[in-house]
Formats: sequence, C-alpha cells, structure tokens
Amino acid sequence: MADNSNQSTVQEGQQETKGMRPIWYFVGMVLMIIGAVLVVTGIYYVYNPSPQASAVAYLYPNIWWGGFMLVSGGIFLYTSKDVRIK
Amino acid sequence: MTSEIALTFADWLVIAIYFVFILGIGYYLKQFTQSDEDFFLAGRKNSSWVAGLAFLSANMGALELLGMAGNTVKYGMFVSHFYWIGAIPAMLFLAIYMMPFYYSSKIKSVPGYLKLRFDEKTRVLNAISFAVMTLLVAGINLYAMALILHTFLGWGWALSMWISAVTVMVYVTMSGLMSAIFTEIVQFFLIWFGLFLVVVLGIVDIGSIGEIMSRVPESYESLWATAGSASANEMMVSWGGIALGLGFVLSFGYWTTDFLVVQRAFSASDLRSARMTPVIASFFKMALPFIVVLGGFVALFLMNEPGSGFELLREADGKINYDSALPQLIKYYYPHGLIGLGVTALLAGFMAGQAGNISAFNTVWTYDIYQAVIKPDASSKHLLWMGRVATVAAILLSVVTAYWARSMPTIMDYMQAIFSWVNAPLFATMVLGMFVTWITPNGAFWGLLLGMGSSLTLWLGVRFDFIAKSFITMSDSASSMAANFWRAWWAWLICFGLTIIISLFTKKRDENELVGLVKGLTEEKVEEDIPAYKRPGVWAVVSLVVLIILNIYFW
Repeated sequence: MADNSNQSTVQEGQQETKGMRPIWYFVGMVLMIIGAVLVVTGIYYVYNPSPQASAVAYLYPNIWWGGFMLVSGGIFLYTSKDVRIK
Repeated sequence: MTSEIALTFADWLVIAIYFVFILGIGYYLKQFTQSDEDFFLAGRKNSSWVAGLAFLSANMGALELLGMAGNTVKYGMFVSHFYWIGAIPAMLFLAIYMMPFYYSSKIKSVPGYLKLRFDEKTRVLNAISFAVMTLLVAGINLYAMALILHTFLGWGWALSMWISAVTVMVYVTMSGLMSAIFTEIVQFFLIWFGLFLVVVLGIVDIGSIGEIMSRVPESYESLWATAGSASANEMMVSWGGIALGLGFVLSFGYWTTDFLVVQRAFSASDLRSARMTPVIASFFKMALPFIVVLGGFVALFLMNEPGSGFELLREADGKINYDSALPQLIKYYYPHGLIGLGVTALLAGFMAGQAGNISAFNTVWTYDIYQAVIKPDASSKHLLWMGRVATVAAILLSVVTAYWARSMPTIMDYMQAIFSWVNAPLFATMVLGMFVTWITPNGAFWGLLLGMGSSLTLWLGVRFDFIAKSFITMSDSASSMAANFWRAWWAWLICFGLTIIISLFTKKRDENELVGLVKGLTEEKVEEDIPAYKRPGVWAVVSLVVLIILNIYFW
C-alpha cells in the first residue's frame, strides 16, 4: 500500500504530510503497542510466575501472541506510513 | 452470580491504550470533517476494504458474540445459521442487485431512497420508525454492556455506562461517521486478536477439534440434518422457519435495508467499491463461527470434563447464564495481559456498536426528519452543526433508555422483536420499489404502515395470549426464537401483498421520474472494462460457493 501507484492514496506532486492517514496506519500502531505490552508482560511472568496461572500458562501465550501482534502491526504500519488519502 | 475477573496493571494498561487511541483517532479526524457529507458519509472516499470491514463490524457487537457463543452451548451447530444462511445470501443480494440503485441515486440514507422512489410521507414514516428503533437498541446495548462489565469485572454499573457513552459521544461528535468507521475497524482487529486466541488455546489444551466434537451431543453437531421438524432439534425450529423467517425475511430485512450497516457501503468511493463492500464482509461473516461456535463447543467440552474446574455462571435463581461462556473461557485460558486484551475486545465491540447506532441515527434525524420536515433550506454548515447536536442528544437519550431498561430487564427479550417490527416489512417495500415499476407511493406507504402494524399485533397477540403461538409458527413445539422467525415472515408477506393490492388502485408515478431508481428503467452498467478478479459479481459467486460447501460439510 505504500506504493504511490495506488490511486486512492498519495496525490502526485502533493506533499506527503497533507491528507489523511489511512486507517491501516492506526491499526498497525495499536497492534504494535498492545503486542509490545503483551510481550513484556509475558517475559515478566516467565521470571515471576503468577500464583493464579491460567490453564495453559505453560505455553506462554502472552509472548508468542504478543509477538504475532507486534509483527502484524509492524507490517500494517510500515506499508502505510507514507500513504495519505486525498 | 459472582465470579469476577481480577485485572492487573498490564490488563488496565491495554484497556487504557485502547481508550487513548479511539479518542486520539476522533481528534485527528476532526480536521478532515468540514462539511455535512464528511460528517455523515465520511466524505464518500473509503476503499472497499475499509467500507467492507466497517460494514461487518457495525453488526459484530459484543452482545452478539457473547450471546451466540452462549447459544452454541444451548443449541449447538444451529447457531451457525445466523452467520451463514441468515446473512450471506442477503449480503450478496444487496451487493449485486440493490447497491446499484442505492449508490447511483446518490442518496444519503435508506429513507432518502424512499423519498425519491415514492414520496415524502413514506420516507418520514421509515425515518421515524428507524430513529426510534435505533435509540431503543442503543440504550438496551448500553444497559447490557454495563450489566456485563458489572457481572464479569465488578465495575460499577452507572460508571462503566457513563464512561463508554461519553467516550463514544466525544469521538462521534468530533468526526462523525469517519471516526465511527475507523473505530469499527480497530474493533474488528481487536476482536480477532483478542478472542480467536481463546479458541486456539482451547484446541491446543484439549488436543484437537475432533476431540472437542467427540464430547458434543449428536443433536448439536448438525446444521440441517435435524431441521426436519421443530421437535427434533435443540433450537425447536424447523427448516421452514430457518429458511423463510431467518434466511429470507429477517436476514434480507436487516442486511439490505438497515441503515446502520448500509451506511458503511454508502461511504465507499465509487459504485464498484460500494458493491464490493458487502461481498468482502461476507467472507469474514462466514468465518465468525470459528470464534463463537467453536468457542461455545470448547466451553461445552470443559463443562463436561471432570476436573477441569470450568463452569458457567449461574443466576440468583440457579439458572445457567449462557452468555458467560466467552468471558469464562477468557478467565480460564488467558494470563494477565491477554485478559486485558480480551476485555478490550469486548469493550471495543460494545462501543463500536454504540457508535454505529449513533452515527446512523444522527444521519437519519438530520437528513430525513430535520431537513425534510423542519428546515428544508438548511446549509451544509448548519446540517453539520445539527449532526453534532443530534449525536449528543442521541447519547443522552440512549442513557435514559438504559436506565429505563435497568428498571425493566424484560426489555432485553424484545430486541429481536423490535427488528421484525421495522425491518421485515421494510424489505418488502424496498424490493417492490426497486424491481416493480407500477408500485405506487400510496401502496408503499400503507403497505409499510400496515405491515409494521401487523408485526406488532402478532407480537402483542402472542405476548398477551390472545393469539396462539402455534397459529403463527404452524407447530405445537416451537420456541420463542421460531416465533420471531415466523412473525417476520408474516409481516413481510402482509406488507408485500397489501402494497401490491393498494398499488393496483392508486395513482402511479410517471416512469420518467423513476429512471435510476427501478430495475428495467435504469441502464445496466456491465463490468466488462475491469478484470474478472476485481468484479463484485465474480467474488459474490465465490462467496456463494463457500457458503454452499460449508452447509454441505456441516449438514
């Protein structure tokens, strides 16, 4: 989507700071930030196990699911960082 | 019924990030909201993907997710009918056959089409009934959200209701439909990331999907095999009720005429994108049972597994609270951090649903009631101002409705009934208006009014025992849900028949005035200049094939 050939995105000759950022930019940002919080929380629980561990705590879902969100969000953010809607 | 989920700092942090984001998005988008069209139609510049995901998300509320997961524990596989036959054919019909008339006429709302096709009185009748329905639903949703947050998280009822209502009010007032659509798409991702994992962890924990299904009662496993008679399945509804009531009238009435969802397609940048909007949404709609139905089956497995320690909550009178299935799974499988994400997904579902109702209401109020009846010469700036005033007023009215619902909890039972009063007859009016040239304005108005009246009368009749439920459902063992399906069918049929009969005896409109509004008088645009993979018709066929395969596989 960062490709300027996309008709609905960047206007030719227009400064990139003008126009509206696409929703994918915000989706990327929120997934990345929440993903990072989950990864950090997961690592914390590796060293400080919760006394009320969930049924599958041994799988460390915070770490790999948070990591998945972080990567997914990063892709959204990277591909839409230069895009502006007319 | 207390089994509160305790939250830690990490959970609160995730929830706080969501609130900061949606308010920040509303503030960011305010600078791009300069005219009434920006506010009410998001400037008509959305791509088919943005409009499509918003189209689905406006319907994908948390109440529905919780309710359907709970219904799976109660009824089994039959719940998938709401996502498959009860949605997909109607969405594809909207895309292929109705959207060209909606979009090409450049109307700003569904009642706006009724004004162009018929007359002002039909438009105002529909606008008023839609506005009342939307406010009722918004208020009941708000009440239900606060109740669930109170039950599962122990949050104060009034506090959680006011915080979410004011948050929605702030961001919708700032940038209207665009902020509603943006937050709906954020909600879409949060729901998939926040709730699908519970199913993944369930499968990993239990072993396989086959293992889960091995503990499910046989009558829960099939989609159609036990639909031969109402007494043969847990939902107590026959295939006739499913096909005619849910699959045809309720589904088509909702997906093709309810402005809450159709408004998202109106925000698309061109006709092709508008037609692709429901088609894209249909694929994700078909995938939702992989969260709710599979999640319900995981809950059912754990309930029957000795030593799992998993159980659903119970009401004060001992009855099982089936809606607790999904929150209890979150509590059972998620560690802290992910619990915050699961709660945020539910919150996002509630708030996006609220924003959807409010943005649909403010559009219909401003264009179809205020501008049509009170101030026809209003400028764009004035309409923008009125849209913001209507947003604040709608939020306050929905809060009042929520307090009313709290004092009368049985109102929750009427939700489905409210839809069949308004949407089922409207679908008959719309389909006749779009496909039959000689339907007259008086035929449409009186058919719609009497159709709505008949639905209400049938509902009151059953409610107060002067009409037997078996008279409506043609079965002695039908459930309330089956009665809803059948009542919608009769309301549609009455509206359909009366509209035709009255049209035969009343004055028709000149055909020249109906060009672009009725099939047969409108030039058909063939999509031969775009490649096949971009054509809505091609993707609609793919969607239909997937639907057929799913129904055969789970027969």
